[in-house]
Amino acid sequence: MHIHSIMPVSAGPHRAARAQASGIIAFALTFAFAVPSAQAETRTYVVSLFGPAAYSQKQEIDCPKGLNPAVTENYRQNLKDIGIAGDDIEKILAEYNGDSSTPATLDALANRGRIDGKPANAYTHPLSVPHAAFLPYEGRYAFGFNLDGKGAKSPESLRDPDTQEPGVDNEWARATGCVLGLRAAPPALATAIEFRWVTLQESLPAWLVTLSGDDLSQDGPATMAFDIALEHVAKDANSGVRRHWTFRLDPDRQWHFKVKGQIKNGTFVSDEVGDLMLKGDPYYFWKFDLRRIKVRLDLTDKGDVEGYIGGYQPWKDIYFMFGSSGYLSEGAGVDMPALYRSLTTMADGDPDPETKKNTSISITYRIKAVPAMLAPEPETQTQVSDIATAGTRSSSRHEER
Amino acid sequence: MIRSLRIAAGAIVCAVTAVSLATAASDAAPDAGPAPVVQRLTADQYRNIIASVFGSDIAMGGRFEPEVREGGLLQVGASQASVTATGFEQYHNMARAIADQVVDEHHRDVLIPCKPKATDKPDAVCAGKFIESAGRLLFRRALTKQELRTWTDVAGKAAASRKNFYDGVGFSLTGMLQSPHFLFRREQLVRVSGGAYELDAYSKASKLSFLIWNAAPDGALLTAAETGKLDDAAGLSAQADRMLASPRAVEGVRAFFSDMLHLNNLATLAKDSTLFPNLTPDAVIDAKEQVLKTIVDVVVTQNGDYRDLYTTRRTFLTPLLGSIYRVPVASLAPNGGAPQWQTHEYADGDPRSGILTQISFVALHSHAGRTSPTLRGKAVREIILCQKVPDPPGEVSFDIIQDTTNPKYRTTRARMEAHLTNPVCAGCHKLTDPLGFPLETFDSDGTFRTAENGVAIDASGSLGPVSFSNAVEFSRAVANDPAASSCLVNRLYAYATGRSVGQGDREEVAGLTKAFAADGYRVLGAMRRVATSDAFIRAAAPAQQ
Repeated sequence: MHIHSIMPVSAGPHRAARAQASGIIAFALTFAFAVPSAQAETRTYVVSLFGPAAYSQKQEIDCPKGLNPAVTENYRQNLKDIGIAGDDIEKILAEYNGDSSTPATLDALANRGRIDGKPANAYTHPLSVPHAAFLPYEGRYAFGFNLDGKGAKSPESLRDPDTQEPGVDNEWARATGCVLGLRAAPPALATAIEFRWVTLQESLPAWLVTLSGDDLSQDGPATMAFDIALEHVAKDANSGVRRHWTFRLDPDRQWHFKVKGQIKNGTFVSDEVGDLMLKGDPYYFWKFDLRRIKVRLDLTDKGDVEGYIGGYQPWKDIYFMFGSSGYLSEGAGVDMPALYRSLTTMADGDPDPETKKNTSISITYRIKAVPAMLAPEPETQTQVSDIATAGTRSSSRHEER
Repeated sequence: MIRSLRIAAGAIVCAVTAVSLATAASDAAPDAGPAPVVQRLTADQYRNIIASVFGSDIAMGGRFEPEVREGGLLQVGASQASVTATGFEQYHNMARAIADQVVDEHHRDVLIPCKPKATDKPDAVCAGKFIESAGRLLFRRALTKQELRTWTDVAGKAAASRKNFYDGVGFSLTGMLQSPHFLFRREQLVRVSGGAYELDAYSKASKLSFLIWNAAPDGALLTAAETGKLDDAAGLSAQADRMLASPRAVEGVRAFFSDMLHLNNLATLAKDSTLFPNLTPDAVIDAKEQVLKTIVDVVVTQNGDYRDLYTTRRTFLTPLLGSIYRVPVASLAPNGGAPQWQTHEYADGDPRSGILTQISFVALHSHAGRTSPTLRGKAVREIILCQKVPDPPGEVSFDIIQDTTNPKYRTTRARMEAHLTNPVCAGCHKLTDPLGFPLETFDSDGTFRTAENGVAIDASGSLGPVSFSNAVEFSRAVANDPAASSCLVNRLYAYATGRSVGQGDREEVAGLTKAFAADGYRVLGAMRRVATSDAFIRAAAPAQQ
């Protein structure tokens, strides 16, 4: 078995073609964005919460075969599989204390994979750890959208608990819905997810959402845009995202995304699809890449927006997000080899033209955003990245392998 | 040995103080003015003196005693403030911290004007040079021969004990910084022609400097005092003009208005973070700086009309303040860098104008979770118009006011009006509430609002015969009220003299008020007139001993 080192790469030729098309679109969007909007009302928000949405009900309904074992149980089995003696296993586990474990303990657990009998890092070489994938979620509800227009009539189809839309594409929910660290009753996010998001905010450029329309308080057509700011978010006295902060748009238009939709009964629903790309944080994910997205956002009485964004995300990006701090993720209950197997098994989009294997997985993110302000546009010409104008796109920092 | 030296140093401080503070017996003299005052240095004055003598990089290393507000001013309260045991301990800590820094390797070559013959032995000549020059600036007068000898001896003994010249100098400096001659401003008198008394030259220099610069006299002012240049009105005026023209005059203006507007209370301002999460401690610090920058802009930079403080649409904002005022203010500093101030001009029609609509006023005079037209109106009466409002009587029920969930009274105004059906309360509230209602469009954290609990806010009010329907009109009414400008003069006079305006001052204050108006309500001009007035330098005969 050839173990591939896991590097967060982009799919090869397919990606290049997309990159070229995206570059052209980004180039065009530069001018589209520069034209003042003719719409009467615009509201800007800054994202205050963002993470995979979970809809967890009773365990007996969601996970009749039981929840996935605790990470320590996986460790026990993994160490047994590589021939560590029972007493030594218990000694290691007795010293295990999440990310506060001793370096020796973390080393033993991180390198519990084996390639040709030699220790291998379980996070960069997850298949070196013989392990089953996660027990899948068997509930019938998951937040999301019917992204591919199929499967609504299937008895296996997922249904959105809010809209009751059948045929929801959210294989992430199926893959991870029985992992304790990734379960949560709405509107909460799972602990592992919320911890990661709160940490990310300190180093992420602020993500901005703008809604435009004739009158956003009435039903009618509207446009939603995503952008990133030059600044991070600011925090208030409760460590929440500070409302009404002023941001400057990052002039690099590769991070700009716009989608049209309708407002009905105080909810914006997109009626066209597109690919969303937002700059992230190098430690967790340098870019957030979600394709063929659909959006549903409620405009709340408090002046915020909250809702869901569904689409297809490269599974390697998701794996890197967790795997870049493997022992931290495992400390939060997300076994990395199992996650890798589940992602590869349940990926359902963007097949690689050569291997035919799916490179992305359907997923739904919960989003909340609070009111923000935009600094007036500078008078100097907006700078457009060379990447966008050149017609090619280096969509990942990492080389393809 | 060191402990005994410290005890000895403390005793020396007391002894030197006792000798110096003892007032000489004098012949009976006609009472020509108010009694001389003794004022404890305020925290800002202490810091400013240390910064001007030793440099702004010297850290304080301690906490200051709480200040006392009397007659509306901390500066008047300073005349009644002493030092508690705890306070003295803090002064000791600060003195040690400052002295240690002055003699450390980073500072000694710059701050000590000579090098000792040997660093491990006393050197009375070099130590004396430093003590004489630093002492003059710290005590705001030349040291007496006895003082110089005493402090130099202390430095020598400590240097011998610790085998370190600089430790010795530091020891002496520690003692000087705890001396009442440093911590207190004491007015010394001289007899002048006609049997009257006035401040001696050093006291005039000190009083002038603390008024205009909020700091001790600089070398030039002390020299002017020592060479008789402050003995006549022309000399005093010349120094006042020099000091008013200096950029350091900004400090004096800031200190005065900070005192007058009770800005010290911002340090302990706390709001319910659930309701007002944006008014963080950093935002409060910016709010204080905003009002001071606005004041300096009008009063110093433009040398403009004092009344414009209540109507100006120009102010200064940071991103933190922008998030509360809902004005887009982008951070121009790198992420995590210090905020940069930006000027902002409110457009015509904007509901804000002047300092009464700024966070430093509306948030300061509110409760933690709700507004208070009474507190705000009282603040306008007492702080801006110098009109005392009686304290509420005992046993008053505030139930109606405090019940913000009563569906019958959904706005603060409605609750206040219900409360005023009690005739005991109505009398005083008639003075305050009509001045607080126009500011109801600013919530407890300063954010603008048009409704409360879904009900449109009625921002009408009145000040005497003048009615208004919003905060801008209200601010204009305050600006135009003669009491506002006369109150400013009153406060400035009390601030400068360190005592409340008494019967004997009324004629002088009336004259200053007239001149203030004639001069276009310019604060710097008013400061100059106060500084060069008879009242500034005259005093009563010293008490018999």
